[in-house]
Amino acid sequence: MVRKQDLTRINDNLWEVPKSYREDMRVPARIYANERMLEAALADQAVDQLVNTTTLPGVVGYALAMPDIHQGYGFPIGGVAATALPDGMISPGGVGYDINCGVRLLVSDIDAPDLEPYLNDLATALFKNCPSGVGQGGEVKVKDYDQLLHEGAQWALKKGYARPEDIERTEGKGRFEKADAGYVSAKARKRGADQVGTLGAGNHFIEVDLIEHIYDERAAHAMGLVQGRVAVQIHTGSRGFGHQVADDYIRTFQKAVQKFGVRLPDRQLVCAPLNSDEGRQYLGAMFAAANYAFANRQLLVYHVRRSFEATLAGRLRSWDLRQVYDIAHNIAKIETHEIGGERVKVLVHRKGATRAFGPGFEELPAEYRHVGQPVLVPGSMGTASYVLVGTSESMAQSFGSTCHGAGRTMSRNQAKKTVRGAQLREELEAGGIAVRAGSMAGLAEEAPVAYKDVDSVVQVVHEAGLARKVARLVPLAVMKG
Amino acid sequence: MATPPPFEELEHTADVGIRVWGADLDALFANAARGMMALTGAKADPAHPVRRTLALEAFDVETLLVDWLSELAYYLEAEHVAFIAYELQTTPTRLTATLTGGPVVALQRLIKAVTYHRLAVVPADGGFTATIIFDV
Repeated sequence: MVRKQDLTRINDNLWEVPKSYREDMRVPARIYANERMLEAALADQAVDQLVNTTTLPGVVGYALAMPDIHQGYGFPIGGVAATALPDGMISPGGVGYDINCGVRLLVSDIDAPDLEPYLNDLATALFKNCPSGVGQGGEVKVKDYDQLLHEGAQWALKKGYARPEDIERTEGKGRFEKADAGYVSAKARKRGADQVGTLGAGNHFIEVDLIEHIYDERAAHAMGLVQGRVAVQIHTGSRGFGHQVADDYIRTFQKAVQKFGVRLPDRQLVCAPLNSDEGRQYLGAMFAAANYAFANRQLLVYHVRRSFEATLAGRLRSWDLRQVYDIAHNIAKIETHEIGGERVKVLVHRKGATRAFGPGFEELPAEYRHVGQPVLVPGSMGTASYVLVGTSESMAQSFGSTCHGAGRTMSRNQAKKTVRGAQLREELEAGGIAVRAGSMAGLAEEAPVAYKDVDSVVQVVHEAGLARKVARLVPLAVMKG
Repeated sequence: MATPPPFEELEHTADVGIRVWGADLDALFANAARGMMALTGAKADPAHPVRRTLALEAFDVETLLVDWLSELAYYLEAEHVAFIAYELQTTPTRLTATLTGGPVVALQRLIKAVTYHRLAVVPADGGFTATIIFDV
């Protein structure tokens, strides 16, 4: 296992595992973390997993870890690695099982104190209208599955579940055009068939938040964030559909690595050249799953808006929710980055990491282009979340990437042994947070004590220049499966 | 010499896992299925029994184990059927099974995926053991 003495300290927030650490490393690995976080990351196999990603053929620059790094499968969570086209590797482990797991942020004109008398009603309405929990199906029956898989959030727009500005304010406009449903298995289709518009369980949630503090008035103004107002976060992904796509291709790629003669230190890191049949097929299927996730979050937005209207219409002056942004934090994307002074086309794997492109990026809607891309960083349940903005420095340092959340420090079992769900719920409610949860055991597994401190995680990326703080949100109501 | 328990739960930072032991591959695979189903808390309705046969082939025993458990996890999520009894004929690369269970009447969690993380089927204590980590 990598030890602290194996690392070189670049500065207070950046550490390097040199290429000389292991013979099979093709590039160095770098970890954005303060010293305390680094020591925590070295406690399990997370840093070794990061080193493993440096062995992927075609990898360029550095393999990078964000401060929310923790142990995953193949790649660590919080890992970023780019491989050069045309024959660099694509690894399903670099995307994860929950393809296009991501976060959406909506904002209102409601002053938080005005919501207080209706908060419990709103939490109940959200919990009722947004299907969540183990085995819970959605109420939208999809008849044109292929259209959804090819069009993502834009499918939802055609069906009346979205507004045009929702699409404009979604990463990649809520659609991967190169999605190919032809490479999706019948099993994946069936597993996801009744899950469109559902939250799921685990660490997924819908949260009503107070915008507690603004750090960057200019960026906050562009995003419509006003201190004291109410916002909503939705955190979910591609549900069973994406899990099955990942599973199918991790199985297929077990053979592909033999076919292409790739030697890997971990079977979970299996990969194939992007320009091989196997690589292209996974890319098409992965993008279809990513489109499923965009559509899923869009349907949940529809349900959330419906819940706000049903609860607050006639009671408050305004109940409308405008979309701030939607980001993917489990994805691989083809992008162009400057490496060693040259513009290079690469496949950037972001596994538990968020794109954080700086000002001037053409894909952004006009109102964000001068400030940079919004970055959404949810904290653990009951703790703060952040809105950040991408920077030019992130383009130079991290393939335009930053952190995605707080990052676990405790196993689910350990959390359940440490915390009782019912007691946690009482504590959160004593703190003024309305809680609706399908399972007390599930609630305990996601207890804040099981996660890193999101304030410290965000401080590291802020100081390192990977993203800049715009606003801090604190929860008013939490809905979990 | 006491034999190891058929399965026991392990710790993993983000997810959950089991260590499984069986006197032969048939028992190992059946105990792995029992261990996984215990993690899900799935209960089958005995009033409406469901039977199914299954045949799998893989290029090594670890892949066969992942495929086997993935099938059961898939039935649970996509078909809402919990298979709780298993008659198996297993070789390192081939498996045939008769499964008995029923519609799910209780469920605490689904299995996102059966992973290859730390996975190895190795001889131990006169039988075979495996450590299996699940993404949940």
